[in-house]
Amino acid sequence: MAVLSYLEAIRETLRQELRRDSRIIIYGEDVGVRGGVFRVTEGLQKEFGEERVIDSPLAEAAIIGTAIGAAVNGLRPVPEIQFADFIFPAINQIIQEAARIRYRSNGTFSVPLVIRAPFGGGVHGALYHSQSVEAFFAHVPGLKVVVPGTPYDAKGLLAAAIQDEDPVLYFEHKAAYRSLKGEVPDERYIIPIGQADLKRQGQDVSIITYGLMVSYALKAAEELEKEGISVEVLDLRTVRPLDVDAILETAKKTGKVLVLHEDNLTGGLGGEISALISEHALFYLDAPIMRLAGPDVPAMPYSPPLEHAFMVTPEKIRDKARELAKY
Amino acid sequence: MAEANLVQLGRMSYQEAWNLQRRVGEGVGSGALLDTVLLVEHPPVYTVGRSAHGSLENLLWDEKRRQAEGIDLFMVDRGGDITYHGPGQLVGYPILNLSHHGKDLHRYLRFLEESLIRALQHFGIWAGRMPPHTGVWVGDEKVAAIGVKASHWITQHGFALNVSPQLEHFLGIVPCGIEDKGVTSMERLLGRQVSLQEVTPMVVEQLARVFEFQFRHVTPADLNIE
Amino acid sequence: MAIEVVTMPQLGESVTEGTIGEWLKKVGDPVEKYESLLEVATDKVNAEVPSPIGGKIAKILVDPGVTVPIGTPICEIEVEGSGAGQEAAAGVTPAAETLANAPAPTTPPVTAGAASSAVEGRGRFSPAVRRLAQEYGIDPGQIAGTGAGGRVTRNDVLRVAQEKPASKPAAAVGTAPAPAPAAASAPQPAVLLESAPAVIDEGDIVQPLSSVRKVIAERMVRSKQTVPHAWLMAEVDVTGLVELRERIKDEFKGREGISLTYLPFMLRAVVEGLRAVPEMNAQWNNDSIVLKKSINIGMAAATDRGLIVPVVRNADQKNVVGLAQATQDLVRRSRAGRLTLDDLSGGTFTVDNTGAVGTVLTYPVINAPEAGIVTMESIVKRPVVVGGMIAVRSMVNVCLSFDHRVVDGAEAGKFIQVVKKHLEAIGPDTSIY
Repeated sequence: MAVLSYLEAIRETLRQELRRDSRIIIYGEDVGVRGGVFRVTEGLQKEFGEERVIDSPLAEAAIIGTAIGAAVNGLRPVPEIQFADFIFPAINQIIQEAARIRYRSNGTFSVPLVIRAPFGGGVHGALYHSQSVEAFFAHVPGLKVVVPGTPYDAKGLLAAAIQDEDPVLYFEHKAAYRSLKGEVPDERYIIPIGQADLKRQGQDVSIITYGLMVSYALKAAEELEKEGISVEVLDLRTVRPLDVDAILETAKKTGKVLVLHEDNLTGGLGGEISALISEHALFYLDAPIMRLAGPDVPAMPYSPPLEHAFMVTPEKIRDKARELAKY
Repeated sequence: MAEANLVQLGRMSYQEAWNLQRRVGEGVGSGALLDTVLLVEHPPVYTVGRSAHGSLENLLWDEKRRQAEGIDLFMVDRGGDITYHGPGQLVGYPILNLSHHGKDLHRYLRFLEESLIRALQHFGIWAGRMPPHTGVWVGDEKVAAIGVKASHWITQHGFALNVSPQLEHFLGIVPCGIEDKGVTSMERLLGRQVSLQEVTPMVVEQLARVFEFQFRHVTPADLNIE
Repeated sequence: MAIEVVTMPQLGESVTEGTIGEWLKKVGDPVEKYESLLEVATDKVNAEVPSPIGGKIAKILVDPGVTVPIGTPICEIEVEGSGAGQEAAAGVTPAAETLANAPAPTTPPVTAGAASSAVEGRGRFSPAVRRLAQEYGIDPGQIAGTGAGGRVTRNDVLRVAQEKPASKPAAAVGTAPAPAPAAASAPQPAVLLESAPAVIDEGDIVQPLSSVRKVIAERMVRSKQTVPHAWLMAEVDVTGLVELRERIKDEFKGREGISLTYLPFMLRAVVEGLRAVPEMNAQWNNDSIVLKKSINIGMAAATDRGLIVPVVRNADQKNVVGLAQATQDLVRRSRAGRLTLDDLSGGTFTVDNTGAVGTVLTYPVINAPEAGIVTMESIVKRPVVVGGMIAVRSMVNVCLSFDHRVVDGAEAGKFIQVVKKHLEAIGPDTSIY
């Protein structure tokens, strides 16, 4: 078992999958010769050739549109959108076509497609290279949306997404690429989509989150432990479909829930999760369900102090969780 | 954008303006009046704030000299130490209900500074702050002084922007009780004559921007507080 | 009369401290609510601070010129506490009445306004607090809250419930009405008679009672005083069971990860007995008998913390493997001190594995308001007559105490025969799934 960064875990999984299944193709802007702007696909074109790792035109609608066609016709495309911010030109293809083809054809056709896209801020990417877009897609029946929070989960979830018969959006946090490291088994394994993972057990407060925020929440939990506050951290791993049982279980256990995401507060996953809890676990609640999320401003600011103010940080999580524990 | 009153009083004695401030304060406090900004130019006067604790230590001229210069003296209930007001100075008394402005006394001070800094910038003067010394500074010299009273979140007193005052009158005091800093004026900074008439509209515009006011220009009589 | 402390007020999010400028009131001065009390200087602002409350200045704690952080106590005001005074005086009366009329409700009657008004100010409770308070028959208004602003938290309720576990409704009082409206039944110690005092000689050690000891004592006395215990015993031949366990225990451990004991087989047999004789899975309710729908079996267990009875819920829905897992889980968590109150409540019948302490015959005390308790004694090899021959068989005694108000010897006998038959039917090849 090797210690890999989040980025390496994704690259090695892609390599392993490309070797395993010749139907898999990768394409996107600069993924071939250049190996991707973040070097996620570095070396893959060399190993698998220009017909399987393809440099595409700068045209997201075309990338996803052709990927859907390829998927319906028997390939297993894993296109990359260079930044999640650029996914919007392709949103018509994703929502109107990919998400619906199985339903529309009464199960005759399916779209085994994985769209990878780096997302998130805190990397001085400013307005067009920092957005969190998962909530837009989590709203759409017919799509699956995964947001891994550790290198181990990144591998298991990517393998699961690739072998899934339906479209999966796979969002990778840019700040996680090189900052998160962990042990990743060499052999192939699957983490089922839709299954949350309790990353830390606790008694006083439950933090429910996903993606980069998982490691931030764990940091905050460690700090709070010194103050005698015991924090449970539930990593959703998949934001559609949600693992409702795991959410309700932790909410019932502690009676105090903090939902975290970097995505904007209003209309974010936090609202959905708190609605589920209040519908199904009201009588276990000992405090209002709290949310900590990116503020409702149009985009990530460029100015470093303002970017810092936008980001959900371990310090902000610690303070909010403490407030909830003391409630 | 909130509506607010703007009253240009022109030249008015310190005592008279003070009485007016208090009556406006009652009106704003009771909700009978909108937030109201008084702009005024005073005859020469020294005022001593609460930070002096009744001491005249920072008044350098004796009674005789002061009277010879024709300068009045008032002990007042604002924060801060001694300061000077006189012709050529734009004095502003924003009488605001801070409950509608974030209930934060320091933020209010910063907003006053910001309005004046932006107004000065319009004239090509790059002014700034010098924490912890509240006021507006150009280099080591103060171009505008600030002193405020708040009661139940209703403010009184405010700022004094040196447009073209007789700077010699500052020699009679240690302004604000700060010894190692000087005083300057827009006229001195720009090296040309500057009038209150020229500066006032820009100060009004920046107050409106910073505090998000839509000013109604009114006279004291319009306020109906007699 | 009450003293209210006035603190340095919040003068804005960016303001962390203030300097006392001038006190506008002296000690002894009356002050009205919202009247200006003092001036505070911060930066270039002189702020008049209104009094948060009306009263008389009792003490000034910070002198002019001194800078203190927001929230620091700065003066004390004596409040003309007409309300507080009356409450204190009036509070005595209802308390005395409660003592006089033994079966008084725990929840203060609405009419006793003065007594309950003390908690009205913080009478808002979270859903979790309300639910738990109801389950444990506790008035949350009587709990001292540790949350923000003195709020009663879920943990506060659990703490109070743990301090007096007897308050769990169904297990509250031997003679208490068993089902839901438990709040109406007070855990009234008035029915208890005083025991004869102990004779203490020199050198004797007097140990104060732990809270667990107290609860056990109270429950035992209540059970013995209010429940007419009757007792019977049956001998059971468990040779087949012993052989079965010997044969599969290693494999079981390997597969399930836990040891296979005799207890889950006994629980399974008791479930069959309760199914056959539902009157045994019942509770006395003064003018009625409550037949319980669920079969939740408590298992008496000795721990470091004293005798506890964790409950296997819905035992009738589990096979031997499920029961083994459930009991193992309870044992593990009770050793770790991690049982929840849910684990300790809601039992409808109790099994006591007395064999673990090596006895062959015991007379267990009923865990009221349940109607019965059955023991499994030590399994011993004895010569017995089988088909006219003497054989060495593995024998166990099963002892039953039952509430004679609820059932008679006939039902109790039938119950124990079903248990016996079920245990004896197990052979070396019986499937445990």
